[in-house]
Parts: sequence; C-alpha cells; structure tokens
Amino acid sequence: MPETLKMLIVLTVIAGAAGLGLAGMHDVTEGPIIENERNFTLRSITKVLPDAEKPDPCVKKDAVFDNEPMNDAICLDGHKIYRARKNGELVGLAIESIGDKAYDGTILTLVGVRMSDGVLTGVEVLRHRETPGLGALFTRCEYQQQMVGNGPDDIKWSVKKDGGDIDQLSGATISSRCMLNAIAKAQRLWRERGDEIAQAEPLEDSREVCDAR
Amino acid sequence: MPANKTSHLGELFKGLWKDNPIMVLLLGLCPALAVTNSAYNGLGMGAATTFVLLGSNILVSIIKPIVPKSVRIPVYIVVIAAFVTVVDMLLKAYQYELSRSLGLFVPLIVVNCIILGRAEAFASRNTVLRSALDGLGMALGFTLALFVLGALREIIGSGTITFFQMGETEIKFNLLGENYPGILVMILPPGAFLTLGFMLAARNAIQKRLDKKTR
Repeated sequence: MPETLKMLIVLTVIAGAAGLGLAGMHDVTEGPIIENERNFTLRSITKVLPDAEKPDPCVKKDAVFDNEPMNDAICLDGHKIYRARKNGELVGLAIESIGDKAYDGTILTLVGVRMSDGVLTGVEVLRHRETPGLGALFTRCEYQQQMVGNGPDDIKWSVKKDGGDIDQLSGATISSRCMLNAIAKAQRLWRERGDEIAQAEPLEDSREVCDAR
Repeated sequence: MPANKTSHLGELFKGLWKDNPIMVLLLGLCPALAVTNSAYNGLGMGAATTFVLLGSNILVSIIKPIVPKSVRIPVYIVVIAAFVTVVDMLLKAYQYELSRSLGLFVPLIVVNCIILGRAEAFASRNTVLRSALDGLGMALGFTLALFVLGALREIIGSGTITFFQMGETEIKFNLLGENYPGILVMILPPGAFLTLGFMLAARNAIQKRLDKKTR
C-alpha cells in the first residue's frame, strides 16, 4: 500500500473513531449537563426574587410563586427578565443586567426588583473576572446588605466617593461602581418599561439568550 | 531513551520525584500556576489531567504499530483532544462547580505539553504496560505538585485548606483561625510564581543532599 494512502486511511479511521466515541459520551452526559445549568440558573433566580418585606441577602430564601419564574422569561433591550407571579399578580422581576467598565471587562448580574415599589430584592453576580479578594468581594452578601432592601429613591445609588450612600470596597471602587451600574440599568427598566414587561409574551424557549452579553 | 533499563515500578515512580513534570521538567506550568488558588482546584485539575494522560498514553501505545511516522502528531492530537473533551463533559455533568472554577483550563489540557510530550517521547516507543505506568506516574507527580502548590497558596493566602467541595458539602479546614486576614498576593498569580519558586528550591536542596549521600 502506498504511504500516502495509508496515512489517509489511518487518520480518517482514528478521527472517525474519536468522533463516534465522543458522540456516545455526549449522549450520556447531555442530560445531567442541562440539568446542572438549569439548577444553577434556578438557584440564582430564587436568590434574588422577593420573599420578605425587608429582604436580606444573607438569609436563604424559599419563596414560592404561582408560576415558575424560570419558564416565564422575556427579552427586552437585550436584558433577559424572569417574572414571578403570586395570586395572579406580577410581584417580582429577576433582570439580567450587565455592569459596564468593570476592572476586567464587564460583569453579568441578576438583579431582583420588587414590582410594587422597585425595592432591590437581591443581586447575584453570574459572571465576573474581578480580582479575587478585592473586587470579587462584591459577591459577598455582607457587602450587598447595604443595597438590598432599598427602593430606587430611598438612598443615593452611588458610592460614597461619588457622593452616594454606598460604601465602596476599599481598593476596588471600580468594581463597586460597576455593580451599581448594573443595578441602575435594571431599576431604569423597572421604572420606564414596567407595563411593557408585565404585558410581554413569555419566550417559547426560556433558555434563549438575549443578546447583550 | 534507553527503554528497558528501568524497572516497571521505576517507570511509575520516576514521575513523582526524579522526573516530576512540574518541579523538574517544568512542563504544563500554565494550568499549574493559573488554577492552584486552592488545594481542591489543584486536585481537580490533577485528576482531569491524570485521566487524559493515562488514557492517551495507553491508546497511543496500542495504535503505534499502524500509525505512519509522518502523521503521528495529528493522530496523537486527535486522541488527546478526544480524551480532553470526554473529561470536560464528565466534569460539567458530575462536578459542575469544579468545572466552573477550572473554566477554560479544562479544554486547554489539550495543549498541555506533558501529555503530547509523553505520547511522543514515551508511549510511541514503549509497551502498553510501560506507557500506562509512565502516564500514571507522571500524572500523579503533576497532581502532587499542583496539590502542594494549591494547598500552600490557600493556607498562606486565606488560612484554609479545602479537600472537597460540591454544593453544600465541603471538606474544608480553617487552619489559621477565623480572624486570619489573608495574604492576598498568594491567591493572585504572583503568589503562584513565588510558591513554585520556593518549591523548586526546596526540591533541589533535598536532591543535592541525597546526591551527596550516595556519593
């Protein structure tokens, strides 16, 4: 057999076998992977949706709603918004919001807003590349306690350095500002587009990505 | 490489000390420095690499008679990439949090030079058994180095040591007390370089002592 032909056959056969093996593996792991990703989203949504009069980010939530907020999502202006309903009424939103100008790139957060008065019910950072031990501390509930539970007009939503009411993380003012930026975007959506959000038809496939990431 | 000089056990143990991939060959430093900010991350990365290295060494050694010399590198890459994809899918399915914290470094095992290096330098010239032992030994040496690196950085950096973490269950010890302030630089990339430097120095010092004794 000529050398070239042998090369061709060997390479093809091995690549084909590897492909077949991977396809089999994919079938086995596909289910658990989807389940894991679902659970991760579900946990984040539950964490930020309203449960009490005065929400506390350091207390584990177990709010139950009439609908499954995870499957009641819409896209608006590139934000993905999950809606929670109780007694036929829209009570809370979990809004995916991007904080611009982080220390490294942008951050992706999930911001919980109470429908009736716009009170921040929680904020969860889904993706960030801030410095561990400095900027990354904004994921801690102890830091978020000063924001969560306040309405858009209750406090000045900027860091103390900029004349607001929020303590910046020492050494990580940029990260703190960035988180407030993400929250501000969500609050603006609630204030200006509330009716639209309430009336929009839910996405058919709630796993869809709304393109502002 | 003088193949039949070493005993089978020698093939297994050389990776731990004599030819340790991290501390002697200085291969695969990219994942070693990047993910080792905790002991558990080091262990996880080591385990993933062990799976790939053992699998690829065995398979490369089995198929070596039919692989023409001129396409051997593409063949090895296909084999290695397949094992890496498998381990990536397994981690995502059964160790979701670990796979989130290792992130991109799992797919990047494909380009870890230890793996291609062992396939080319060892598995393609030795028997299946020897290749398996070599792969296992090298991978355990890699895992050991990553674990020590991760543990030292975690202990000095945040005062804790984590052996396992999955959802709510975790095996984590607070070694330096609740009020330990932490030394940030150890968690950051420079800490990885510093720690590795001290580990290399320590290994060399011990090796020198041993050499003197045997002489």
